Amino acid sequence: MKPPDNQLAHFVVRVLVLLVVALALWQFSMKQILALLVWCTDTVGQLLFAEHVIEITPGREQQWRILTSYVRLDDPAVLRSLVLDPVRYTAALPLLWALMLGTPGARRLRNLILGSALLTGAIVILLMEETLFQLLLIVGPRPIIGGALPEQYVLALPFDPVAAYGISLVQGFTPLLIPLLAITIWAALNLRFLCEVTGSNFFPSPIQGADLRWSKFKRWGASGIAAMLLVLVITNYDYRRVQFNRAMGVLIGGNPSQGMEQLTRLAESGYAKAQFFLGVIYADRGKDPGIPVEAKELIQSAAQQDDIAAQYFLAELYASGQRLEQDTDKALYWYRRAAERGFVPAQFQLGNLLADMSRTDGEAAKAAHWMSEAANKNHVQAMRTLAKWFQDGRLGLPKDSQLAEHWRNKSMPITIWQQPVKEVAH
Amino acid sequence: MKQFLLKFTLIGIVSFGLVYSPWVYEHLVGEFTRWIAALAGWLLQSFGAQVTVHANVLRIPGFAVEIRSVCNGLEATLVLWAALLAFPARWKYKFMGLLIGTLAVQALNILRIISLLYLGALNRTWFEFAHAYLWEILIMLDILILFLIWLRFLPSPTDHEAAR
Repeated sequence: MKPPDNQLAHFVVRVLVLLVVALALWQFSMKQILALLVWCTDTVGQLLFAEHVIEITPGREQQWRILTSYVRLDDPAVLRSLVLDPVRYTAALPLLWALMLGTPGARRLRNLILGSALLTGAIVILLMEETLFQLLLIVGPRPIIGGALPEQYVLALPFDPVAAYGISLVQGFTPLLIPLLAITIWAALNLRFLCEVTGSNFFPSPIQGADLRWSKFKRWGASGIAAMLLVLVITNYDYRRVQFNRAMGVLIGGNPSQGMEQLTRLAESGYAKAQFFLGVIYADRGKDPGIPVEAKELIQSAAQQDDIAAQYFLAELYASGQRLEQDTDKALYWYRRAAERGFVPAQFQLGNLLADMSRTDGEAAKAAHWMSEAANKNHVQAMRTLAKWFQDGRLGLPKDSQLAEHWRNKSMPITIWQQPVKEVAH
Repeated sequence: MKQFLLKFTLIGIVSFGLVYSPWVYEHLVGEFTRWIAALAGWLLQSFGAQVTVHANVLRIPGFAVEIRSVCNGLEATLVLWAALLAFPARWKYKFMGLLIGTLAVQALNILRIISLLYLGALNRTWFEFAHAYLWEILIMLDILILFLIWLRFLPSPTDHEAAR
């Protein structure tokens, strides 16, 4: 047993006192911290996830709006915006500052700056994780908390249930994870102090620690990781998509004329997504029930460039005949193009349309094929339709009550988590 | 050191995974949360406070708090457990650390619940600040301090062989 040591007690008292100061400093400099975080998250986010853009309303910096251009499967003509509370993520900074300043040593300031930079990096990553989690929230209740997802949104999940569970789990523990990271960073930068205060030589000193030496192997490893990240960024970066997200952010964020101007410029440059959304905006502005020619041309141009949302939208217009003259052949054509690119609602609609029209065995087989494709990708209505077809032995499918039962069971709403305790979000 | 970090991460992931597996969560965690609420309520009542407990909800005149899964101190306890179990020490000391550490974390968590209950009745802004920021920091600081004290009281090993 080691003798009692005042060093640890002094350290604890110093940290507690400094924590009050650090909390005050944190509150005082919140605007600057958030501005830095917005810049970092937006920059890194654009490089890695071109689908999202942060939109900040002046005066409401404590509540970010993340605009995402993921296609909503129930309505491809609508963009989603998510709300993010970044302040909570920064709450570990005062803990890190108090620990760093409370640790004796000549390198306090250096460690403070280095530690803050490292923690900010971690916060940026976790904020992106929160964005993914917020995308999950679109589909309904928190998956970690439980309950069934509204079935019309099940397909809007860009993640499979396991990924969804993982994302929600990390998000659930973020309040614990960030202070833990702060402590880990503090400990990594103060190994010598840890040895002194605990009287243990377990923690290697940075000087004598052979572990921390920058070996040739590690140099190559780090270069490899950096190169992989660079390749990821280069292959993933989509400048026009970022510009598009920005334009939509401006449009929704309170400056419609500027947003329209940016969107028009992008549409004129031939960017399909901008053409589609501009087309939808023009279509909604049309006074008569039909669609203005300009809007139709824009949507058609986007569809021809293989924008699946535009293809599906156009197919729906032709199929319903409400705003364009009904044309089943054109509806089939556009549904098929979107379906062939893997757009699940188009596969389902194509299966339905072909089933209604089927005269020959070949046509019936095609209907069954597209319906199975959609069902295999968890389209709930497709599963139910397929179950019915198997039950009745329709469209060339064998009459098979087991398969019908299988699809009926599978069509039950996905429940990621079940628990009896009532857990309500804040 | 590397082994410690690896073990800490592994134990953390396994224990969180276990606690949040549907069966354990359904049968044990919910019950534990209600038990924490009952304990906090009993403590307050024994000091003559006007408090009612219903499942995991504590209520005083003018305010009520609902103790949720992440508010029951279980996650913080698991972090401490992961650190104690991952550290190369004799099992006797590990058990002592686990026992005393768990009691200390849970005692602080009950203090947190009680303080938040009364703070909420006094001032909602301060409640939000203490709930969302201050107590989260204090609980983690508590874990760090407990771990450091435990390390301090470990006998000088000749010298933690796993440190190599």
